[in-house]
Amino acid sequence: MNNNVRETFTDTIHEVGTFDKKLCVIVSDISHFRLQKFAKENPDRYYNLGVCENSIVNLAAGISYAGFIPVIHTFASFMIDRSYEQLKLSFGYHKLGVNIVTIGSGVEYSYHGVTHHSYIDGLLVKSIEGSSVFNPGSTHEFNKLFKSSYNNGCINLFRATTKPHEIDLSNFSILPGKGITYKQGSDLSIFCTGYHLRTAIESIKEFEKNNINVEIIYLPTIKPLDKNLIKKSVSKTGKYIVMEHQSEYGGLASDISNYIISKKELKGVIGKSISLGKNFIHEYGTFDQHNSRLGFTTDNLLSSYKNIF
Amino acid sequence: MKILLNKELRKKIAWMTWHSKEGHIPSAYSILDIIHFLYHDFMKFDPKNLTMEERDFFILSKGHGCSALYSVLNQFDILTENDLLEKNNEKAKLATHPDSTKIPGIEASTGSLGNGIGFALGLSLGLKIKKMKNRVFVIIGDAESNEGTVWECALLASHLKLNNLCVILDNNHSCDPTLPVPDAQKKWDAFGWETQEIDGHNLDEIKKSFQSLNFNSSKPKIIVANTIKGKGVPEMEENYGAWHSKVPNDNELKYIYNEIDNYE
Repeated sequence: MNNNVRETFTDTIHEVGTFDKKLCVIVSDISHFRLQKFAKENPDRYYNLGVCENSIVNLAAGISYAGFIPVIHTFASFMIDRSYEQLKLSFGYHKLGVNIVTIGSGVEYSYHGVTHHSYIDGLLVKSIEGSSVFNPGSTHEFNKLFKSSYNNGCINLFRATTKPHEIDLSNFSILPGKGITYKQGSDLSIFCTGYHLRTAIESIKEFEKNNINVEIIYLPTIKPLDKNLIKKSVSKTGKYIVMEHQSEYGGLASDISNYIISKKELKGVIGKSISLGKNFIHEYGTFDQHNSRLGFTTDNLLSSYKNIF
Repeated sequence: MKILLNKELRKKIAWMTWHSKEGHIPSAYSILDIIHFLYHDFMKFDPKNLTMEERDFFILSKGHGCSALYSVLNQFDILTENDLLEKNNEKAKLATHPDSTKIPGIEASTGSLGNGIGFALGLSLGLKIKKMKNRVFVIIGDAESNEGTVWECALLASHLKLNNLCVILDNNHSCDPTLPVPDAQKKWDAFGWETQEIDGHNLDEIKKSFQSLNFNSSKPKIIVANTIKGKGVPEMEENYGAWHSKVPNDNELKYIYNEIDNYE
């Protein structure tokens, strides 16, 4: 199965948009070729409106107000970072629904440089009342999450990855707002999202060599947070590490930490964040090189555990 | 002879601003006559059924001029005297920008310039996809036209052939001292719109321009309404910058009333 969600999300859009005539797709001059099947079958519900993201967001809000369910699509840095105000006011304040399918979240487009990175796309959308943020690491997850959320009348961000984790999750339920206990453990909770399910799984053997039994909690939904699952896990382990391709400011680690400190019964739980950090990422290179440099590695997971706990 | 239209509404706008201690009187005065005409004489609008399916839509993209809209909605009892009295209070429906989550009949919350027009475009497109005959009217300001999104929308609406959309440009020259947008009609014409230029305080010209709109043609329409910021109070017309968000004191309110009554 092709798990490059940037390439496969268009099949889901075609499938959903074929039976739901309210689905209206607007792209900002990317994925135009991949969406041609939908475009040809539904010319009145497909628009490639060029590179004017702020106006595309406002226009999509008007379309939503007219009774349609918009899907808008381009790089996260342009559709979210650049167009935050439009998302906040035209959709958020008006309580109108939209599905934002972005590419380039985090540093996925590593060769493109800072202009095409987005470290806070999740944070920005999260901050809007009633929104959801999904970070599917495979086509299967995108399919499940999109189909169960696209018509919920809310702002839904889907970070469409080009870096799938390639882990088979077909035996797990993929539901909005729900995480997955991929592996039970007792010594350390690893909370991960997107590609880093792979990184977490790859670390299991090294942890076992050191007699550390890790629990792996995978979170394809960033907002709403699966608080019950998090609580259950850290109640058992007392320790956690969060791995995410988001900024250290306001990312998943921040949400988990805020939740934990609000719970008296979780007093004493300690954690660490492995994230994109706080600064611009000036380096190019491959996605894997970014991961190595930023500490998304088994070695760093293990040393983080030893140093902190 | 020039006649000042809507004298009582002008007084009400001044009073609202005086009472609520905030507002934009000159910006409201420049658009008042067109809003009054649209609601009373042109748009498909039922004050008893604000959400009727076949209604025309109105969006005040330059949201800070909203007291003009409030005064007109008050004429239809959509907003009560009490609503006006409560403006800007903690639990009020009304504030310095129009809020569709609170005010019946307001289609979009506006205030952040350059966004209402994009919302209107999407609404126009949505109505066209549904093959509905409703029309969408949106007022933008000339200073609002400093926003790049306005020109993105100029390009988009023409590209999408949004012939059910009519923009009214409140060309009150408020941005002349800062970043003027000269030759507005030529600019919109160049973007492929059907354009007209009128005196936005002359009822005959207002009537003729709206009645001449051809919603069967393929182009979006714009009426460049040459208006006067603070129209009706010579001191305000002259010193519109100083009066932009000025709240009149008791004496100034009386002065405004007097100037409106005696305007020639």
